[in-house]
Amino acid sequence: MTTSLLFLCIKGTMTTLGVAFGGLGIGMILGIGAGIISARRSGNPLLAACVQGYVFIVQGTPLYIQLLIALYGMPLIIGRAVDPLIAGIITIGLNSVAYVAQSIRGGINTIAPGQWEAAYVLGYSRAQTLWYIILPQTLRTVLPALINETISLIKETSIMGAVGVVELTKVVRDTVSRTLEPHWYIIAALVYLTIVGILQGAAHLLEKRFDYDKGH
Amino acid sequence: MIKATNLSLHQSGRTLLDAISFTIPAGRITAFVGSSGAGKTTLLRCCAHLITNYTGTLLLSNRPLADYTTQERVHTVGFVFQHFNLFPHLTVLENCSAPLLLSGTLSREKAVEQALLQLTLVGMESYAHRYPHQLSGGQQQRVAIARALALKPSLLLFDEPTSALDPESTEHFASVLKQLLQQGITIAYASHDMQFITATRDRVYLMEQGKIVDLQEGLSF
Repeated sequence: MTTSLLFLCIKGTMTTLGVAFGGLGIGMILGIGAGIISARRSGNPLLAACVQGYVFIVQGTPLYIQLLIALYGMPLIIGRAVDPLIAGIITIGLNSVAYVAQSIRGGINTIAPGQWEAAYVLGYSRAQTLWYIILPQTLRTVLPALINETISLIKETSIMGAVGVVELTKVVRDTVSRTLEPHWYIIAALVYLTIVGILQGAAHLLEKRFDYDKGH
Repeated sequence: MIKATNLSLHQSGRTLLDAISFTIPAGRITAFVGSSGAGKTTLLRCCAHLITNYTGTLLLSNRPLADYTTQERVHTVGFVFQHFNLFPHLTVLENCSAPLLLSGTLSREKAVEQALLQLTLVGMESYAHRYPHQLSGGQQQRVAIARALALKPSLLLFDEPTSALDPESTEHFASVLKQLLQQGITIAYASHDMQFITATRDRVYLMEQGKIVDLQEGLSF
């Protein structure tokens, strides 16, 4: 009994990680792009305003409502039902885009204009300036915010159980309602803590690697 | 080398450059002198193509500066910023070699070799693997000069070159300028440091409120 429950917990944890990292992948790729577009030097005020509008909508509405819109709204557009897991990954990803874009935008705006100018007089193209000069400095500045976003994402996946995604929280909730053994909640909390702990350790290493001002 | 005629720049209702004409002759050192807000930095920034919305003509080797391709421009005009603007996440060597690598004309080995050569020239080769924050103001300036020289420009522009330097570094910088002149590099700088200007003068334009009010020529350096 306990072994099968443990197996279910592991499966639920895998689903949690899948949703979180799937969403994170979408969030990072699109979020960095959106952050660049919406930065002060983007040169495209219309696109920048669109990104700002998107950020306002996402940050101003609950994740649960966004999830319901994805689950019940997407079928109206694509013409067929959407798997709750897919809807979950897309929702977490698109939600994360807003937060990542906001961080990247803020980070790019803090880079001194002299860095852009130095790159220009040295012949860097705009793309080269962004890739080799601005983004490395930006990522270092916004790394703590991105780490917090990743940790939040992992915890937010617990909402997916409400639409039938069998992730960790849903597994233990179903287990407790069947077995009336509330210690499974403690086990779930410990699993979340372990994942967050590992992430924070990795983040610490990453921060040290980016920290060219210290330790050399 | 550079010939500007009726160069004007207006921004937000202010006149930054007021129909000025000047030349920066090849193989010499030209100083633009004046108090803050006189327009000397703006003028140098026009010459480096950092400002492009001016009116009038700005010829570089008898060709409009605006007609130069990026690669032509960076191999002709180098610019050393007042605060050097080194890239803080790159080492001294990477700061100098990266522009060469990105231009796509040199292999990594050649780019590193050329960067090291310029660092040796300014006495900074032993700092090649340090980061900018680990250097003093004078050392950062020498790296900025090496970075600009790595692209082998024939004209080097300096914006307020002594503002971040102590007296010892200023003296060293004057000797670096002399070295560059001997290599045939044309130099122009903007400054309001009269002691430095007196020590390095050759041709001096005096500026006031966006206008050139005087030119002193034939001074010795």
